[in-house]
Amino acid sequence: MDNAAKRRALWVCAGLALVFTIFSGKLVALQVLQHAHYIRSDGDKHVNKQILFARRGTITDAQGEPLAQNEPTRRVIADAALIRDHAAMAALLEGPLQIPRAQLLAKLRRRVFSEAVGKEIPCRYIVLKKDVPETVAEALAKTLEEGKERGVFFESDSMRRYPNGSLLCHVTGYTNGENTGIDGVELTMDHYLRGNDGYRFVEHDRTGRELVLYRGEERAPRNGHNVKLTIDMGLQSIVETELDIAVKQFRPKMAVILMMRPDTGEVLALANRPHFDLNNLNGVSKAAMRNRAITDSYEPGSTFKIVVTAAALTERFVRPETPIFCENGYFGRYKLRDHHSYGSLSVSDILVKSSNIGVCKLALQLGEQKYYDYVRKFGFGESTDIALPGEEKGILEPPHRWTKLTISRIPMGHEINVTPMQITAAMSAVANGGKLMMPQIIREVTDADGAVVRTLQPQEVRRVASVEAMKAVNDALVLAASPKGTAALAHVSGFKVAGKTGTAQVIEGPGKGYSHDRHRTSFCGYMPADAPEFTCLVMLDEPQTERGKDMGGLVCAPIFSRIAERAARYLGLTPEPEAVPFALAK
Amino acid sequence: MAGNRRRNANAVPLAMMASWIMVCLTAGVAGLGYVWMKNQLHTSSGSIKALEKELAALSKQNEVVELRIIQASSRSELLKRWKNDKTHFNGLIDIPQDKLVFIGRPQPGLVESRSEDDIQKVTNRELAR
Repeated sequence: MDNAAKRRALWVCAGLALVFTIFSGKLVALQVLQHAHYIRSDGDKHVNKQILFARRGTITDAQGEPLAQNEPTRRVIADAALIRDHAAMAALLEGPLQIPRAQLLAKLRRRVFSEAVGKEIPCRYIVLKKDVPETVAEALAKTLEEGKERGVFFESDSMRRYPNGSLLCHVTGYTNGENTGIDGVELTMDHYLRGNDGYRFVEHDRTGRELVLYRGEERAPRNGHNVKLTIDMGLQSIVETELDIAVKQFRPKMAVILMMRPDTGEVLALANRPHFDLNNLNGVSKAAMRNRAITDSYEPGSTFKIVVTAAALTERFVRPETPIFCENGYFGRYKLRDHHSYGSLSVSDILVKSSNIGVCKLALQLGEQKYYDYVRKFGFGESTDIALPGEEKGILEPPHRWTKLTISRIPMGHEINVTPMQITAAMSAVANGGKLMMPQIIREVTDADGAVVRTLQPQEVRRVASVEAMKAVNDALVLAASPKGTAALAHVSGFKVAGKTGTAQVIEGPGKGYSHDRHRTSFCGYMPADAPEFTCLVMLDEPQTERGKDMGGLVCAPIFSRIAERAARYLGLTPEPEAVPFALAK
Repeated sequence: MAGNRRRNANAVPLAMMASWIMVCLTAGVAGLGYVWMKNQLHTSSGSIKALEKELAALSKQNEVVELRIIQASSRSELLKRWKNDKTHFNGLIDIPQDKLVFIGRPQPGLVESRSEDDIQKVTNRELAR
């Protein structure tokens, strides 16, 4: 080969080497130097993080009856980059999704800034509508497929459904659109119920179809735990039915019925009026949503007399038969009146006859500080820590803030505010022999496979009075529910009932004092008195009756009787023959 | 050129050709195999996706039906149906209080035989009379 040929060959080789060097350089630039940039850019275009939604746990009653369930729905998502004609798509979606076309168009035309591209691009994840029923979503998917439209996808979702509607609404609570608990057990147990969403990185082709082959990192969702309540829907149903009848008959401002198992503090039934439908929250007032059994405190009236009696008996200042002079109906020093004039009454009879003067004298014997300590021991002035939101702790001033008259007013249930839950827990303490139990609404938490995650055991808060004192109070409360007492109408055939009525005057307004016409009536009792299965509080605020008949013994005691009779049948309690038939004793 | 020299110079290198053919065949089969396997992967992923969809649809259907059963057998719904049914489910009514008879526990002294199958005395006085 001559030199010229050699030189030409060299130039060609050098040229080729240069071209390949440039290619190699570009390759290095693409694969190494700009690797992250192109990965991000590609990811922006084709890779999505798909959320795998966890199923919210269910809520059931103590027998496993479902109270809150999930209904599978779809979430309609749009990828604006894949939609060719926004207006046509909006017209197609308008009907099935029931969203105005203008609103849909605005959503479909949404643009977001992409850091990878450095400019605004069409939004690739637009939530068009949540909670679309399965049938609607399926029909829409078919329409889109037939029209060969692309850019609209469906994600699995679920919405909360409450099979019993308004039954137990204040306890169950509800969730918002994001399936987060807002009220009731849905809120307090939200951390157990909600579970953890999972995710999966998925790659799509040009038409938006997932390329399963190129699935990226994935984390499976953890479904929420299931919560079992202490509520028994059989009893709840009885309570709600009777409450409806009572509300129809007396048209009170509000009403509460609460049923508790005294030995364990488990809440068996809880109903409020007004109430609402959990499946239709539109237009529901805030007042209807309040769980008044724990969020409202009120002056309890005579049901509160059990506290001072138990305290005086525990301190052994008196015995059940000790006579107390009741000032013949008017105690001038404390401007205190009884409904009837009584001379001397035994401590038991003070409860049976519900003497205001009698309980005032018992409190005076105890002294302010000791009496206050007992009231606190019974759980008043502190929250019960039940697993429901918005609990009030009531109002109980310390003795140094009391006026001269306070010691005479608190024993009869005035100048103190308590919640229905507190008074029921206190009455349960009498029923079980002196143990204040923490009210419980949750029995058990299980995972999606049914394995127990947490069991809540009954919790004794403290002993509030001696067993002997409670036995004496129990005997007095049995007499109070006998023909001799104020709660004769609480009687249930074949069972020994114990309980105390309450009729508290309602405060007219700031500085206006107590009303003489409007009353808050209540009855709190338990049954069977010897081995109580349940404590039940019935409270009606300002029942509409004939003048002078809006009293706890006339309004609430019969409601208790009906509930207790049906509950006894439901629980299979065996009645005992009565030594003297109730009608004859009357 | 001598005959034996020509034979040597123009001899077909069969061994070398065979080895090259083997190399090409192997490369070809490997390439085709790769493509076939890739295609299999795509087909399988398509089937996986289809099965996943079917499973999800079945699971959803199951949930919907389950919810429908729960709603249809809920207390409020049953009560509504009972009220709307003129026959009250063929005469299913709440037993009135005055028609109830409670069977009490046998009392010592009143019962001669303690056999479990014995009829116990009723506590309802009117019935006992």
